[in-house]
Parts: sequence; C-alpha cells; structure tokens
Amino acid sequence: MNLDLVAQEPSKPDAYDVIIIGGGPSGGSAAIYTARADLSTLVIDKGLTAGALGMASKIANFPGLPDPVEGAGLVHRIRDQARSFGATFIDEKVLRTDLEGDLKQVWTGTGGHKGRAVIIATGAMGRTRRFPGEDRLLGRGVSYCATCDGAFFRDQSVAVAGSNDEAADEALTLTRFASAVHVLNPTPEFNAPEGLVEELRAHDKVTIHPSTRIAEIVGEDQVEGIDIVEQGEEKTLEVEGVFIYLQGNLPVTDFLGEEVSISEDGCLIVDENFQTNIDGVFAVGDVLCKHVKQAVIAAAEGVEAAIVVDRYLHGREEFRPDWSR
Amino acid sequence: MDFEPKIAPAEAGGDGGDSAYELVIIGGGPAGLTAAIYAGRARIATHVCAGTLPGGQPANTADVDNFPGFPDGVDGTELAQRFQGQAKRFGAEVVPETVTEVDFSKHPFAIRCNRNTYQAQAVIVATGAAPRRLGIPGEDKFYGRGVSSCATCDGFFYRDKQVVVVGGGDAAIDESLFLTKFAEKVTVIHRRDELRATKIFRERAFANPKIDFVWDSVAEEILGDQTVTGVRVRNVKNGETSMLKTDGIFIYIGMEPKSDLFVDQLELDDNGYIVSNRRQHTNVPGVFVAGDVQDPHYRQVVTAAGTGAIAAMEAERYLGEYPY
Repeated sequence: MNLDLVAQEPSKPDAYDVIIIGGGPSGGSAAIYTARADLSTLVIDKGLTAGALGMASKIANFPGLPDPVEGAGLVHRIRDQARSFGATFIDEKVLRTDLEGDLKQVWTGTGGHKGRAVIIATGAMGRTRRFPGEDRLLGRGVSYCATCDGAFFRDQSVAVAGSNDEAADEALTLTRFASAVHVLNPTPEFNAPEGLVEELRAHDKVTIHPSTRIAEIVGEDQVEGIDIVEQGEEKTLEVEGVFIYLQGNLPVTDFLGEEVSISEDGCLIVDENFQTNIDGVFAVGDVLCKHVKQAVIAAAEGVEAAIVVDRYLHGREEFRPDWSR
Repeated sequence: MDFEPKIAPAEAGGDGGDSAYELVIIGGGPAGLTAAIYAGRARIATHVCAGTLPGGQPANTADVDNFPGFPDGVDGTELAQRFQGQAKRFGAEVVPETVTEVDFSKHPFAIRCNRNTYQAQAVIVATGAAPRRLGIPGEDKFYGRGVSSCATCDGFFYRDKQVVVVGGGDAAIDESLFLTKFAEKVTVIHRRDELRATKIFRERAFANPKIDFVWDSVAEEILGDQTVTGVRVRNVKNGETSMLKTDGIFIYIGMEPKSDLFVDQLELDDNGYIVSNRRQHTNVPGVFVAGDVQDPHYRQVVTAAGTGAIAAMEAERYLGEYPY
C-alpha cells in the first residue's frame, strides 16, 4: 500500500482519510482524535437525537461534567470539539456502502462519499420488528428516506412515523412536496429540539398524532392507507406514502452489504483493533453490542479506534502503539 | 445527599486505626476517580487512596483539549478537580495518602497506608504509569511547557515548529513520524549510532525528509524562559557539547507502570504492566485494574476513564455476587 507518511498527499476534495458513520459519543470522540491527528474526517449522522445518548435526558456520570448534562448537550459538545479540529459533519442517513478495496464508498441521500478508512459507530437503536405490509410495500410507498424519495409524493398525502429529530426533520422536508403530512409519534411528546417541534406544530400541512402506533400498512401494489391506533382508538389514514423513523434496540447495520461479518445476534464482529473482517473498516460502540452502554466507555472506544486508524492509514503492521518498547 | 454506606467506616478521618470499606481504589488519576464516580453513584462504600498529588498525569498538563466533552479545552488541574469533586459528591472518600503495602492473598483484602490500614471487599488498582525521565536540568521545570512524553496529546501544538525527540526505540521513532505531520522539523537525539526501533520504523524515519538524527548523543540540559527554547547536547564519544534550538522536546525512553506494590500479589507482564482481561479483572477475583498501569497501548485520559468505569461496574457486580 502506498499510504505512508512520506507518500501522503493532501486529501483530494472528494476523498476523506476517514469516514465515521454515526456521531454519538464513540463516533464523535473518534472524530476528535482523527481530526486532531490531521486526518481529513467526515462524520455522517442522522441527527442530534437519533442515538441513545442524544435521547438521554440527564447524564451525571460522565467524568469531568459534575453538573448533570442532557445527553443531546453532551453529544453537541463532543461534536463542537471535533469540528474545532477540522472534522466535517453532515446530517444524513447512510443508505448503502461499498467497503472493499482501498477506497471505501458511502452513499447518502445526496450522493456518494469516498474514504480510505471507515469507522462504523451507528449504535444499537435499530428496529426490532417490521409492520404488517411494510416489507411487501417497500419501494411502493414505504420508504426510510424522505430526502431520497420525497419528490415522488408531490401533492399526495404521506405519514411519517417517529419521535426524534430525524423524523421531525424528514417530515418538514416532505411538506415541500406532499399536500398533507401525518406525523405518527409513538410517544406523547417529541424527543427533538424545541424549535424543530414548534416548526412542525405550526406547519399547516402537518397533523401530529401523539401516542400513536402503526397496526398495518395497507395497499395492493401501492400504499393506499395506514391503520393506526391513536391513544387507544383505531383509525385509518388515507396516504400514498409511509416514511418510518422508529427506533428499537438492534445494532444499526442495515446500510452494510453482505461483505461485512455480522454475528447471529446482529452485532458487528471486530478484532482487538476494532477492525471488522474488511481491511480498513472499523467499528466501535453499541453496534458491537458488548456489555454496558455508558457514554464514557463508548467515547474511550472511539478514541482507541481513532488511534488505530491513524496507524492503519500510515501502513503500520501493528495498529496499536506499544509504549513499553 | 442521602448517601448511606452499606458499611459505616470505623474511622472516617482515620489516624492510625482500621477502616473497612466495600471498595478501596488505589490511585487518584482519571481511571481511579472515574471508578470512584461510578462506585459512589452505585452507593458502594468507597475509599480512594489518591496519592500525595491527586489528579494523575493530566494534572501536570496545562491544556487538555482532547478529552471529549470539552470543546474549549480544559486545564489539566481543573479537570482533575472536577473528577475529584464529582466522586466526592457521589459519596466516595478521596484522601491524599500513599499506599505502602497490600495483601490480596486473603479476603477481605488489606491496604496499608502510612497511618491507616483499610480492609476492602473489592479493590481497584489505578496507580498509573510514568514516563521515564532523563533527570537533567530543566526537565521538571518545563514539563508541560515544552517538555512532553506524548505526541498524540501534544503534537498538535507544534504545527510548523521545531521539535526534538529523545530515544531510539519503537515509541520514539513512531512518535517522531507522527510529529512530522505537524512540525517543520523533527530532530532525534539518540545515545547510540543505530536505532533500536524495528526495521519498518527505521526505514520510514530515514526516508522522511523532515527527520534528522543526532547520533551518539545525550540531552544534557533543557533551556528556556517561559517555554522551551533549546537543548544542550553532548556527544558521548568525543565529549563535545552543542546547542540545539527547539520549541519542544519529546522524551521516549520508556514508560514505567507503577506496579511495584503488586509484584508478589498480581500477575504482571514482562514490562511490569498488570495483566487484565477486557472486563478489567486481574488474576485475583475481587481485584480489578484500570488506567495506564494495565495499558501499554493508548494512555489517553478518556481511555483511562473508560476502563475506570468498567472496573467499577465489574466491582459492583462482584460485590453483589459475594455478599459478606
């Protein structure tokens, strides 16, 4: 590999040294270290409250922060820190990846990104189950990306299921196309920045359905409607599109191809250097579904992976430094 | 605060008596204090023997800008105080005392300090590691102000500046290569005429136009005013001395894990690091380990803190499984 320090050229504008997927405590902390080590760093994240820490209301045991902080506040601080060293953040959802070879490719709703190394830090808030009709009507009205598919629903009615800022953001995106946007919130209140929620509430195309779950997505060849239970009451909404941003507790790996090894439990498998079965592709944090979900432990893992990635990119045979030698 | 220890310490202040705790933590750096935060919060009766200079290695560092959560950076002393205040607030006792002897051969474990002896159901060892020092004039004075032992931590501050690296092993050459990302010039001072570092490091270093070598030489004095401005170098073969201008000096003549107390008590590796599994267990059930004393690889404040959190949670589990 021609990647050592001597041969290193300034990054091409279209290729990053490192792409980090997921900007929670582990991805964000990895970005602090990669950017500070002068690696060009792109972090792709779905939104501030899309992850487990971003949703947490109060963190009291993050060392150094004696006054309890909101989870989203801590994520914000970590991201600001990574930005101050030059990391770039984009709020998008990763749809597809091609990770083999020296240049890894990561596609989001707005296009492709290239990186020499990838760190997967997407966490474990993936959904556990599908709704009746969801799989059958996927691509026929069911979508997970308003940025990608919104334009197909011009002047039609759509439903958006979710309660975080990703869902709120995507619902607002859809108001540019759709004639009516029903937001199906599984919880009584949103878990998203207040301004965003206010914007949503004030929008005349948007109807919010609090404490609402999906019973079935109905339609022959295309989505024709959705059966919901709103605060205990069964209803049917006539919609042509259903956009789903709900969360569960499965590792988020749906954007990965089959080349990446995943355990029977759905967890990414890594070696002692956090490297997956593919060269240059690393994974940290809850997506590994190990033991405990603590912000400081996730942050520590992100930093360890970042140090390893720096050495990987410089062609070292041993990825971990050894201070005893 | 309604914290009530499950065992009341026999003598809270302690002046020569015995005290019993569920958990005693040895070490008051980021690993030990993070363990204390977690243990205190889990309502475990916790005593920290923090050493005479609590705070650990970051306490010597002027500006810690890579600890996640501090976008504006934080003074190392302040960060140490924050860790300590947080641990105390959750009910842990943090006392600046030095452990002189431990006995892990029987349960409960015994931890002796100068004046007090503590009994503990569980122990977390977080004594840290210290970079070996050269022992030359100016070294202590400028530590954290131009003298460093961590390029990952401090290299960033030397963009377009000149730095000196002392040492010839893997760590020295590896960090020299890392420093070339920032520094305009890296001068390696080595006491022999060849490098001890492995072949791949040697080849890279020799091929890198930013790296120069001063062979057969030792640093004799670090000079400066507010910060480092130069280093006096002596050739060990002909005795000649010369002055080298530099903005920073990185010393890599090895790390010393502070594990002397545990030589006959815990399993150590060849370099003196305490052997640990991923869950921070040592070879003695009930004795856990965290931070640099078990980590020859990463040695960052946040990685030490992460292992401290894991050790405390494992200690909590152990205490639950072994009621007394």
